[in-house]
Amino acid sequence: MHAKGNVRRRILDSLNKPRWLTAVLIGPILTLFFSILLFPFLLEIYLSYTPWHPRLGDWWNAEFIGVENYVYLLTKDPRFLWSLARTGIFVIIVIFIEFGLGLLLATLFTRKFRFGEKRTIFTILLLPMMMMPIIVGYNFYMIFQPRGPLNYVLGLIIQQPVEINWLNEPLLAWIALIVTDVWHWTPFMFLILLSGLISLPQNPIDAAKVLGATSWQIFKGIQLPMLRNIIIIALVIRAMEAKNFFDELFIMTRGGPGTATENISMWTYQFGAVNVRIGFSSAGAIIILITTVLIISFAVRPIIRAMR
Amino acid sequence: MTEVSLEDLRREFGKTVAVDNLSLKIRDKHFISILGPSGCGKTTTLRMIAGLLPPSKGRIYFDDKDVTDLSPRDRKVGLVFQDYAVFPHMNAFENIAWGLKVRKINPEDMRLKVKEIAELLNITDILRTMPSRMSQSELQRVALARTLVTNPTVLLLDEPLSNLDASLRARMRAELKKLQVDINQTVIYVTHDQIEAMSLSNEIAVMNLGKLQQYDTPDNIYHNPANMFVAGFIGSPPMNFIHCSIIEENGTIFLDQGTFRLDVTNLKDDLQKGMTSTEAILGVRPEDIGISISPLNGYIECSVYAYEPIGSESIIDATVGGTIIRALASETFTAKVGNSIYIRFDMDRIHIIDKKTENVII
Amino acid sequence: MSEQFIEKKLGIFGYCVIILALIFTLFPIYWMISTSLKPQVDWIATPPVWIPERAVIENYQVLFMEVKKEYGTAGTEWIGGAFIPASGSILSSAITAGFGTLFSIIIGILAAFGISRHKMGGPSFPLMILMIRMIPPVVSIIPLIVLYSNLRLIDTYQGLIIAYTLFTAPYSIWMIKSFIDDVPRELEEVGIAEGLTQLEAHFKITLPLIKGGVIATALFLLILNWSEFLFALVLTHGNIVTIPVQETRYFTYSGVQYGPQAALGVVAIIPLFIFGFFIQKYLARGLTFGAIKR
Repeated sequence: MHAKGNVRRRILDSLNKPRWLTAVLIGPILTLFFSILLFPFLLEIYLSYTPWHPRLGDWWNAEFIGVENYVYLLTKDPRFLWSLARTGIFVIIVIFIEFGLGLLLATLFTRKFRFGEKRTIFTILLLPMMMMPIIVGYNFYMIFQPRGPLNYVLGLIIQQPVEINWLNEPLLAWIALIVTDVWHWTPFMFLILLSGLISLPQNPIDAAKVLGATSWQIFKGIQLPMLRNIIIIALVIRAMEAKNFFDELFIMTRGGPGTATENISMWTYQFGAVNVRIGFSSAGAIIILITTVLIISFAVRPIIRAMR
Repeated sequence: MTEVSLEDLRREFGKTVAVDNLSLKIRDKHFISILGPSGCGKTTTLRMIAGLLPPSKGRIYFDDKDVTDLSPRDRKVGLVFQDYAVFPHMNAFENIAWGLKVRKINPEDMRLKVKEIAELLNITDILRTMPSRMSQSELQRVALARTLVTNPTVLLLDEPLSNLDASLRARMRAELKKLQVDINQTVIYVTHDQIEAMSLSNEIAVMNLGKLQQYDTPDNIYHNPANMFVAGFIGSPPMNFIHCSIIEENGTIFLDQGTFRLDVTNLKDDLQKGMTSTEAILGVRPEDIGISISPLNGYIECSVYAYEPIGSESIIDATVGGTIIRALASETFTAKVGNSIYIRFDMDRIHIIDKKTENVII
Repeated sequence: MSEQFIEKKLGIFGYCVIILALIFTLFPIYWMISTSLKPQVDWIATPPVWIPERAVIENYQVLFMEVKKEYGTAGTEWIGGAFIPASGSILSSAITAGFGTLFSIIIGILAAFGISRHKMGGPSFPLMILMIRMIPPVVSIIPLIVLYSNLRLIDTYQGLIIAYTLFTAPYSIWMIKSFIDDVPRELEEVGIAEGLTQLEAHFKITLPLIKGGVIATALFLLILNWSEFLFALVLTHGNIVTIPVQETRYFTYSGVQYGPQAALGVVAIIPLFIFGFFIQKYLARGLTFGAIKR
């Protein structure tokens, strides 16, 4: 009973402000939100219950087929399910590699450095993050060519000509894509973790030193736990973006060879924009959304807590 | 069993010299305070003793061992920070046990030791509480416990009471005093509060601007300050400094302020030995000044400038000859601004300071 | 003792790691720059040409001129005949990214004030905004195709700009909100006591104080919008071509035109690096929606 009264009072409070002020300030974003996000979303739900594609005429006259699309996608379409699986595996691999490398770089950077210009090195290491994903994709496309520089260097190392066709072998293509994403986004982890490390209060660390701990014990027992919130934020944000991996994928493999590197973005693009089977791909998109929401609701709580 | 010796310690930060030429010998099991205003170098000194900051020059010895190049880990000291620096992600027990945990003490012994120290410091019931829920005094005791449980040879405390409010501070002072007896270790205590230093220490090292001003027992620091800084820093309300000249008239030596003069012929020999010129500063503590409403023989006439009753005493500011002198009177003494009062200095307790060198000659 | 030994070993290890990281980081960028300067014959040569001795600027020229015939330094030929000038795409990118950012900032400032100062929309409103970004873009894009078709927004500047505005709004709102939060509310209250209205207090008192933050946010959004690919790919059909879409056009039937592709890449990257350099301080804050302030 109390809780209900609270919520009601709060909503009334926010409406009590001069109405026009509310309209001016959050009107625009709400308008955009409802028209470009919410309404299309409802449309999508509707369409997912139809087999509609543009050649069938007007969408508002589309035939209603119930959950046929969903059933098909979830039970009879390995291609869709595989794209979900590939996305999940990709995200996990990629965020852990990036986290590990980012943490390594961040801890190195907080130690005393005989280098000279920490600032310049820092700026350089951050560059990949600022590059256009499509260009990153293109660069690595070039590098992973059978006659490209990577194979050449590998050939030098093992003293034999190497002509691996990275982007045309399923497993190798994945490795190429993972390397690309790691190159692109490790700086993000590095930046966030470094910010976090620097912002840690020094006194507890000094206290730990005096108490007799080794650097490793301090790192594991004091610094990392104090970074917990930041680590969670970094991982969740990176995971959110990693599941959308598209640009580089498009240029490097287009989902291929065959469908070996097709993730959920590629699948949706293929069926939604290329084949324009709107009804079918809408159902797929909804399933993807539900899965995302479920997974996020496990992760969002720590983020909210951390952001307070 | 640890005697701490500092030899010629110096620490620079870029162009600033935080500590200069500091030499100190702290006897085993003694409680000494490093006392001084903010920025005088006391925390820097403490951190050097702990091993967190390497000195720019000089050596540090524990007993006869040169520890200057040893890491904090190898020095086996204990350090309690001003903000306690309790680990926020562990409860009290884990905090206290941590020093033992990293030394790989077995869990059973660990639990016993923590329990023991918790009982000593009266924090047994908050052992499972998280730091975010603890009061300042609880945090401070956890920080203390965490340090004490590792049995350090030297205990270093950096202004441990400055974050507490006044009433709590007085109480913790008493507890610290009792604790010192219990733990029976060499303690180095950094503070800017002279009452703490005076009440808790065997010896006090007064520092200012990075240099040691005087290292002596509280009694001597109070009664025989070495220089003007120490004389003015110790004592509340602070000592009065009155500019005078030393003049000789017919075989009598006078301390001449201009409006009044004091006969100091009996101090002639010491004055001749110590003074570098005839410019002197007369130092007299407010509590060493006698006050009378009515004119008495030998008393100097002044006018009341300000009158502050502070409960058990009153502070009277009196003007004479262009200077203001502060005196302490009993609570029953009432004075009105503008009225005349008559003061007399306790000649056994005055100090004469050489104006140029600022050394206390008498 | 062993602690110091470990420290030393770590120092050397660290040194190596940083050097490796630098090489790893710089190599692809270097490769792109060098490819952009290579004549066609060197694009995918074996052994790879590490330093373009025969550096040319044709690849860059081709971006801005239409070339129909064979063209090249002596003894070389272009594959294919036609090269699409890319200057149009640079302009298109500038327009869509520029206006998208502008509108996003305006909406962002308004909403940020609403949320920060007035807690409008209730306690879960900020989270709702975050959701915009959490939804996979592909999910939102499908119905947009339909909607835009009906509204004839496909392949128009307006269509793209609207989409860009909405989907960068979360960053805009959260970042600006975090800047507003840093300014004490009391300053506005003083203004209101002096007779200003609520809105005037916002814009005349707080806004000037967060000018730097707003500019940083704008640059951040510019980076995002300038690089945006998916929406541009799906919502345009050739009338409007932004830089990322243009890049895909270098995969021709007769081969990949690596040179011009790299040249366009270099040209496109420069503004990003410049913006990035200026907002270095705010990067952490932006990427984490204001959660982490350096």
